[in-house]
Order: sequence, then structure tokens, then C-alpha cells
Amino acid sequence: MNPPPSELLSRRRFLKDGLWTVSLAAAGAAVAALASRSRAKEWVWQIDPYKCIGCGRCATHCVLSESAVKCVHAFEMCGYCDLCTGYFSPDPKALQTGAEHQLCPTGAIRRRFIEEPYFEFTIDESRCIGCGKCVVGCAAFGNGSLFLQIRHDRCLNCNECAIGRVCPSEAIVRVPASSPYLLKVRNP
Amino acid sequence: MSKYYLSWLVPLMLTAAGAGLLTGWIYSYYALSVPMRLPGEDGRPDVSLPQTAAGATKQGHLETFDGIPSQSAGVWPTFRGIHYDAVSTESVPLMRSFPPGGPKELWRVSLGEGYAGPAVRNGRVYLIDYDIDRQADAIRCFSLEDGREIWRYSYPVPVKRNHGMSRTIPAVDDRYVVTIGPRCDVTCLDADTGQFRWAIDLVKEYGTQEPLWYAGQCPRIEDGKAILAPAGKDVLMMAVDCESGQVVWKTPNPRRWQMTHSSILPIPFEGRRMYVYCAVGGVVGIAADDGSLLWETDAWTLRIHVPTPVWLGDGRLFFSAGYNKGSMMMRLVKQQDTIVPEVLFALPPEVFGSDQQTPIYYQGFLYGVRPNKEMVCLDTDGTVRWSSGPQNKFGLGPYILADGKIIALNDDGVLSLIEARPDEFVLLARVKVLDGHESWAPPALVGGRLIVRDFTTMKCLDLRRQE
Repeated sequence: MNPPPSELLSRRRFLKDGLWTVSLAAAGAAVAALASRSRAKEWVWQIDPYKCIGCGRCATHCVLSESAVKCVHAFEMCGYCDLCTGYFSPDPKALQTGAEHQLCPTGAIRRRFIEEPYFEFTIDESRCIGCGKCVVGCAAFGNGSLFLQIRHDRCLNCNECAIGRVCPSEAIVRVPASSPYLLKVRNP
Repeated sequence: MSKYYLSWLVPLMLTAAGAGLLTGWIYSYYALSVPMRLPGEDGRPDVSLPQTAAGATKQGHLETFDGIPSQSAGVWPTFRGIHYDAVSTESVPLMRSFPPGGPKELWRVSLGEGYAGPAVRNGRVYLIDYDIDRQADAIRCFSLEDGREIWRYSYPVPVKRNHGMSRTIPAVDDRYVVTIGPRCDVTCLDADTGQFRWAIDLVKEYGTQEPLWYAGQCPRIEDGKAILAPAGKDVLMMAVDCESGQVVWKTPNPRRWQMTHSSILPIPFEGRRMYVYCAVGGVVGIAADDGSLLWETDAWTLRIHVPTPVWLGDGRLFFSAGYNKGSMMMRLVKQQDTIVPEVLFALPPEVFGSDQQTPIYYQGFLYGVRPNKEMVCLDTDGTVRWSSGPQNKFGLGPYILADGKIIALNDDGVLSLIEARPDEFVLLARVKVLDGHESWAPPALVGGRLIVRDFTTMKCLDLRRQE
């Protein structure tokens, strides 16, 4: 017994509709995936320098063996002091470049005489491990011109930042990828 | 046979492979190379540059303006007030909360960059400013009433911006005002008219080593004598007659201790007045009448010493500092004809130290701001009674005490009123009163009028309680 013509049409429509449904679902999934990828690229991790307390966990908790976090120096805020508290250990015996007087464990801060009484301090990023010792020293008595930032030429932009999980001051925040750095500025 | 070979060949190959992998791993592991760091890599000149312009003789000049001294009574004559304790002796009731917009601003004055604070006497406000256009220290006298300038005495001295320029607070009695400029220039003027009396260049005449970031020592006037601590080549402390400018006594400096940012603390002890001073090298107690050395100790010293010691009575002195130094309580003990300073306890900076401001002792308790920027109350045995917590930070800002309240500024000019009580931190009111930054200058309080400043602006605020 053959089925009536209306039922044949209905089966054909079923196949047709099914094909459309699958196609639309695939297109939707592709759009969603693209949108998702696009959203992931819109946000990156960064350190809010005004929340950072220089605890040192950036150096030890990043998934990279050498942290993506590096020290940054805002020259316009710097006092160019002879006794830079971000460069020298507390109450140093002498204000000179011997390792025994320095705060930085890797010698990543370079000091250069400019003119009496000013010295310039620059960061050698290849040596900086993001430990934040200089940040704490600078904030204690200086202008706070040394601070930490996640360098986006190194950061893997993990979905869940390993440093952000342990940051005690909740200084690791998401920022738009279009302006990925949170830089300190001189007080007005 | 083949089994025999396999029995040792396989383990041997595995061992060799493991050793190879281990070696590869060790040598491929990235390790940051730390370079040798040696003295002299910064290019600092071998010969230190002159601290002041060579042979500079500072010829000053006086200008007068239309300001008129206020008739208001009240005195804040020097750094930390009448009794050198930052506690007001006045009984003027102060507000417990701020009106919308904060306390009334009575007047404001623009200043050169710095942290110099005011002293007040006879309706006049004294301040040592720096005039960057003229390259000159400017000792300025304003009316307490409206802030208009009365006179200004300036003398040329080159000062480069180095965390601001001005630093110190004048000392003023009924006749004289004495200042110490950033480059260690001591000047004495007539307090009413600003007429020049005498001047001393401590670097040139006494071999004082100018401290880093310029001089922070505030002078004292006691019994008509300016009390100064040059801490130079030969003289540690001296008294200078304000009338004549003649040196009354000098205390030798055989150990070549150097000047710090700390100021001299006059105290009474065992019926004798003495001056306590923290130098680079140690602490001394000097007899006020003849300048003789009564005691000294090197138990408390550091290169950058800012806070002044705090006198608690009963022979006890409390020292505090930043740079990871912490704090220390000493007791002066009289043993026959000598005075011996004994260390009672020392506290690490996490418990208490003070980077910049001097703590306050009030009714048996110490109040101050420790390096984590929190205000704390301490017992005299060093036990922390309370801390203001991370939500109430004060930075390097100053604080004084009046009418049972701590009046504190933070770095950004936010004024807080806190109850001076040992059982808990009670914040009464808080409002931003200064627009600028680094409001570090110790304020003055006279008749309920609080004079505060930030980096470039001084304001007079009315803190009197409105009935």
C-alpha cells in the first residue's frame, strides 16, 4: 500500500527542514565560536599599580618559568634621588653600585649619574623577574614611580591567570586589549 | 647467549638514555644570569661637588607688604608646638564632624614646592619658603587673620628640585624668628619686622655635611638662644645668642657624627634640662646650660633619620624611623654622676616604625603611622592596642593632637579626625581639604585654626566647633 502523496511531500519537507536546521546550527556554532574567540581577544590581564602591594607572587606564580610580569619605570614621576629606596637596600652602607647595597636580586636596575644630585634608574627587562622588591622600596619613601605590569609580548593570556588567583590585593584585573597597560601618572 | 647480552645491554642502554636526558635537561634549563655588580658603575664623579655656590655670601633683602598681624591669641612656636609633643595646650572645642564641603577655609596662600610647615606667634604665621624664580630662600610672615603677607626676607641660594625644595619649620619667640634653610643656612630675624639679625652657613663655617634631600632639622629657641645641631667637623651641637649671634656654647663632635633630618628634643631630666639629638652615628643628650655631653649611645642610629625622639617622662625616650629600622624604647638611668641610656625594647617595622612623621605620646599611649601606612596605638611596652586597618591609610602625612582628637592628613590632603583613645580606632570625620599632593608638612593649630599645606598651597581652616 503506497502512502498518499501528501505524506511523501511531508517526508521531503522533513528532510529539507532537517538540512536547513543542521546548516543553521552549524552556522550559528561557527558564529558563536568566532564571537567567543573575538571576545577572548578583547580582554587581557593587567596589574592595577595602585592596588599592587609588591608581595612577590608575580615572580613565583606565573605559568611561565620567567614571569610575564616586569617592572616599569615612570620617569616623569621619579625623583632621580641619590638614595633611591627602590634601588638601595634599607639603610645602605654606601650609595654606590656594589651588589651588596642593592635591593634587586638580579641587578635589573641600572643607575646612572646625571648631575648633582640626580641619578637616573632604568630597568633591564631581560633581568627583571617581577619580584616587586623595588616597587615596595619605591613606594615606601619615594614617588612610587617603579611599578609592575604584565608584558603582553610574554603573557599567554590564560583564561584563569595563575597570578590573579593568588594576588592578595586583587590587583590583577582584566583590561581591554585595545589599552592593555595601566600606567601610573604624575600627580596633578 | 643473546638472553645474557640482553640482560645487561637493555639496562645499560636505558641508563645511558636516562643520563643523556638528565644532562640535556640540566643544560637546556634556562637560568637567569646575574651579572657582577661593582662600585663605580653609575659614573658618579670621584670628587664630590660643592654643596653651595662657592664663596656664596648670602646678602638678603627685606620686602614689606600690607598684611596686618591678627589680634588672635595662641602660639605654635616651633616644630611640634609649645611642648615639642604635637599636642595642643588650648582648650578650644573642635568639631567632631565636618560640615558638607569640609571645614571653612579662612584663607590660602600659594607657595614654592616643598614641605615647610608654619609656626605661629602674636597673630603672625612664619614659614620658610623657596622662591624658584629668584633662586632664593624666602622667610615669609603672614597675617593669621587673612593670610596676607606682612614681610618677606630673601637670600639667594641655589636649590634644585629634589623632592621639593623647602623643608623645615621656623622657631619663633617674642623677639626673634630662626630658620634653617634647605642648604643648612641658619638665619635669625626680628620676629615683628623681619629685620636681619645674623646668619650662619653651617656647611661653610662648621663643615656640616648637607643631608640627602636637604636639611630637615627644625631649629629651637630656648631662653633667648637658638639651639642648633650642625653635626659638622668639630661641633655636634651649639647654642647661639639670638640677640648678638654669638655662640654661647659648643658641644664637640669627636666621632664626626653627621646631621640627620631629625630635630633637637628639649627634655627635663632629674632636675636638669637637656637636648636630645639623633645624629648619623648615634644619639646624644646635651646639657642645656653649658653644652656638656651628658650621655651618648650608638644603640640607635641610621643614615636617614627623620622622626624626632618622643619624650614619655620617667626617663623614657621613644625612637622610631623608616628604612626597615622600626622603633626602640630607651630609659635614661642616673647612676651617681652619670646618665646611662638603657634599651628597654625594640620593635620591628611591622609592629611599629615611622618613616617620616614623629609619633605622639598622649595620656599613656603612643600614636603614629607605621610603614604599611596604617595608624596604630601602642602601649608603652610596645603592644599594639589597635591599628586603623588597610581601609584607613595615612601614608607619610602629618598628625597632631588637640581636644582629645588626632588631626591627621594623608599624602593627598585628606583630613581625618580620630578619637585619641586606646581601646579602638574611631574615625570621626574625613574630608579632602587640599587639592595637591604630598601634604607632608606638619601643621600648626592656633585658636581652633588649623594651618595645613600640600606641595604648593597653604590653607587656614576653621576647626572650631559651632555651638
